[in-house]
Amino acid sequence: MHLKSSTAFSIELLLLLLAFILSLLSGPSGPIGGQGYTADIIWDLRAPRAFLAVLVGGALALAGVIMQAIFRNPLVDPYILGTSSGSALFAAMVAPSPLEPFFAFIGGISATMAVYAIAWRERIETLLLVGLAVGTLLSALLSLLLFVRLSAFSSMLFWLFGGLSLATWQKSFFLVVVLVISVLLVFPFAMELDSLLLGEEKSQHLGVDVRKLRFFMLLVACMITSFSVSVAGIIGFVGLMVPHMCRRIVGPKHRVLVPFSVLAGGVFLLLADVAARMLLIPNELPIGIITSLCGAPFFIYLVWRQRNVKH
Amino acid sequence: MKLSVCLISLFLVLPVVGDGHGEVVMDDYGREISLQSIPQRIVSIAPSVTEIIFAIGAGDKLVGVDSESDFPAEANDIKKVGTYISPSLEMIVVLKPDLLVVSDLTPLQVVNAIEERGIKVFVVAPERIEEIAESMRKLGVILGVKDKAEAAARDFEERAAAVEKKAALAREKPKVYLEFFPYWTFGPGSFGSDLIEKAGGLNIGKKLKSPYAEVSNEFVISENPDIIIITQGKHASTTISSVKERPGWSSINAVRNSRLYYIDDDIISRPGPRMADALEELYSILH
Amino acid sequence: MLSIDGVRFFFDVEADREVLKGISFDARSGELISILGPNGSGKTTLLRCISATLKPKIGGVYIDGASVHAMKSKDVAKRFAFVEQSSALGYDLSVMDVVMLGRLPHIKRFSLPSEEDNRAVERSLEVVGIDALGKRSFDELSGGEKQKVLIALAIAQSTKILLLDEPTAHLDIKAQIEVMELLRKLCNEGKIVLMATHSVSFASYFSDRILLLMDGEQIAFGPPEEVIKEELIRKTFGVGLSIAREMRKDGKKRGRVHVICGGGTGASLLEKLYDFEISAGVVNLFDSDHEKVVELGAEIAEEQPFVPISEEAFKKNMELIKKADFVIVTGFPVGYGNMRNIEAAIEACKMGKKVLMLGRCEDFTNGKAGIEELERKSSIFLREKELLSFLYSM
Repeated sequence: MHLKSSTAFSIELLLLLLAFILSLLSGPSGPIGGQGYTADIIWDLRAPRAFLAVLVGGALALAGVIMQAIFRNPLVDPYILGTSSGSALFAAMVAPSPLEPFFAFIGGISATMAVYAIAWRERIETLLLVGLAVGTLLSALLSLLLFVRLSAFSSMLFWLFGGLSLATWQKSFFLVVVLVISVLLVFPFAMELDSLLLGEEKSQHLGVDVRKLRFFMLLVACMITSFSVSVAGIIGFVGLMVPHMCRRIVGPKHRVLVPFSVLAGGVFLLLADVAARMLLIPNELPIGIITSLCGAPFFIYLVWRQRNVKH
Repeated sequence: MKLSVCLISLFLVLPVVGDGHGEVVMDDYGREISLQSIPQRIVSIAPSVTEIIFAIGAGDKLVGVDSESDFPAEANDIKKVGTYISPSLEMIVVLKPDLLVVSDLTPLQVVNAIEERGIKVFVVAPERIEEIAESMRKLGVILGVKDKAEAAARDFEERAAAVEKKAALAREKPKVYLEFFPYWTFGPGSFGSDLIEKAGGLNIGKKLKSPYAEVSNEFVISENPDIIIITQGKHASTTISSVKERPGWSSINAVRNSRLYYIDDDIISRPGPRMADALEELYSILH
Repeated sequence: MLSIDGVRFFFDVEADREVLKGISFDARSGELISILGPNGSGKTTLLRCISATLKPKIGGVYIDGASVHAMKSKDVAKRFAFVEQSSALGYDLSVMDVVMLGRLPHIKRFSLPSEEDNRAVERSLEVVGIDALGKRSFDELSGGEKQKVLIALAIAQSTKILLLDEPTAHLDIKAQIEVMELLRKLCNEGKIVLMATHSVSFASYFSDRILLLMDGEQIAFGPPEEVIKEELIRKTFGVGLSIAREMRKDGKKRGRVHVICGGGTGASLLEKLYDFEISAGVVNLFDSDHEKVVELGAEIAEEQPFVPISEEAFKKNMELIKKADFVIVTGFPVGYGNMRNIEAAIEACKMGKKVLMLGRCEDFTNGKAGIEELERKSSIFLREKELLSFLYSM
């Protein structure tokens, strides 16, 4: 049975607050940043970083919710469908440049549409395989780019592993705008997305233009993914895990699931970032490694469970 | 009393300030850096940079180094600020440095993020051995240790020139295979390759397409090097005996004549003062 | 009034094969019309053309004179509610939420469901008689309950016309009759109900008029007494009326059939044996035949995937064979793993059971399986239709 949404949101907001405070208090220079630096450290470094974690986590979770709804499968997310890799490759090609987010968007949308065009009529396994193949191909191209432009080698590593260490208030501001717009774009279609749960045909018979809905929603998902990649690099599996757990807690109705997942994505990435900062102090782990360490086993568990439910 | 102390210290500092004050130095990314005064708190985010700073006598000004900086031994006692790929901005900011020195190993995004926080960044990224001395001189100017830096740079150049001179006189140039990771070698444009050439050898890796490249068994066997050198250090664990046992390698000249040697990983991969040591050591191996 | 006027349709990938060859009929308020025909006769395609999911190549569909295909999809959804054949998973949506989706065409994009929407949902749960299920998870319901929820959804859609594609497939006999009586009730309230079915008896029992369809051709349209005639049914279904009118009102079965199958060879046949009590064996888990048997809720002798038939499974199979009146062997490929199925069939012959073979089994055991012996002892039918008419004539 699902939690009442008022209860669920209260608990979630409390968790978000706690995680945020934890994040503000975590750093290699101690909980309050050493003598005399507290304000600077917390305001200039930890706060923008914590905000960015919430926003990137929320963005990836939202992209995951959308993709899982339109593909009617809980196993997809922007990382698995190659959106993230496409965004990273294109952003890295022009980096450093103010056009990074724009190119990330072009790359993300191209990769996703390619996967979609090849596999949307096929079984979901095919979609996943094609997505993974395209994602791997793009990551390989990114690695190739690293070798070709050796001088920029280390700059490009940033895209491959992702990280929030370079958070600034400007980046947070940029992403908050993108995220709010995306949520506002998705929200009016919540019921349409619900109807897809009963199948494409049912949706159509309920007056939903499924093709348009899919295309439009995919566009939104690509937009938030690629903009979050452009500020934080590739961070995998957030969009897979978070919506799935949220569906368990508040049910599959998108009117509740969308905002709940966005907040939960924020909580998750805040905690992952604290781990990335604190595990090997003062060295920082790439946050993508932390999320993949949680996400990949989760993915395997989901596949295993799906198979057992079927038979 | 207090005032007089201030005045005295001002007098003491003034001549030193005059030395570096207002000087504009171009770093290796072509950016012009000028400092109001001589930096007293430096953070280095590359082992090579740390070595140079110590070599030119400014090691006492280092308040933070990256976690790979382990030479000279004093570097180990300095506060660590994370890896050179992703240093902790927070640690850097807390140390309140007036100058950060990085190499080209640190991502540009990180460099920009540090500068955005009002910390000057100087990039030291020599691409050839000759440029290491130049880097020492530039850092000498900016750190206010011009004379000591000049001496260190000259010493470096002289030692390198001496080796080159001897190498030029050598009757033959042995073919060398230098491995820093199983089956990975230095290609054209790398320091490792330069070092071999300057020490009077022929680097078989020079035929490859990229500065750091993986090679096949076949490549090494058909190139038939006279000498095989294996790096040793934190990141290298290959041993001479395991190399001898690689399939088909028993026919290689170097293995037949037992001319396999170790060399310290750090001295041939860090573009710092110890590259002169590397040159001398390579020369003695080669000839 | 709904009128279908000369609808012709083909899929663009197979432009030379017309799926609908000119269908014309009309339906008045309060009528229940069955579209009757065997599988593949074009029933579903016709429903989709009517609901504007597909656009006829020639001809049109009109509601009170207005062409359905010129309407916006949302307006169509306010006029037609469609109960599809397959009931997809709802990912844990509650019954109430599923039925609320029926209000989708009526709820404005930027607003929440209104009081009226809530009332419509409650009312339709009541009409279908599932108000007690409201809070339950859709995925956990039985097939019959799910079907009722989907009908409730369609009712909540508040449309004049209800289209149903095989609404009683996969339901047990009690649920079948309940669903049909519900549809009858809705007609009495003034709705038009169009139902695709392959069940002659349902069509003749419950509909006001019947459209008889074969290979996309309209064979007949009219009240049951005009359409359900020996020669028309024989022409359409290839079997006589006595066989086709298979349903008995008391729900009693014609007898018990055991199907020895595997590799997906039995699924299609199993589906058509609804008038018999069925069992099957030995089938490996994950085989599509296994899935079908489980779906039909029949007794089964099963074995782990990719494992040869064990003694235990073989014994279970023999028990089921003993209970059966007929044993059918579908033409599955025989290898060393499943050759004991042939042995079981031969045993069945020896017991004096009537063994029917559907097609020939391909032999991968160099004759060790004894397929030849089985073929000598059993009756072989090459086509499903022949086998079925034989069964129904017994």
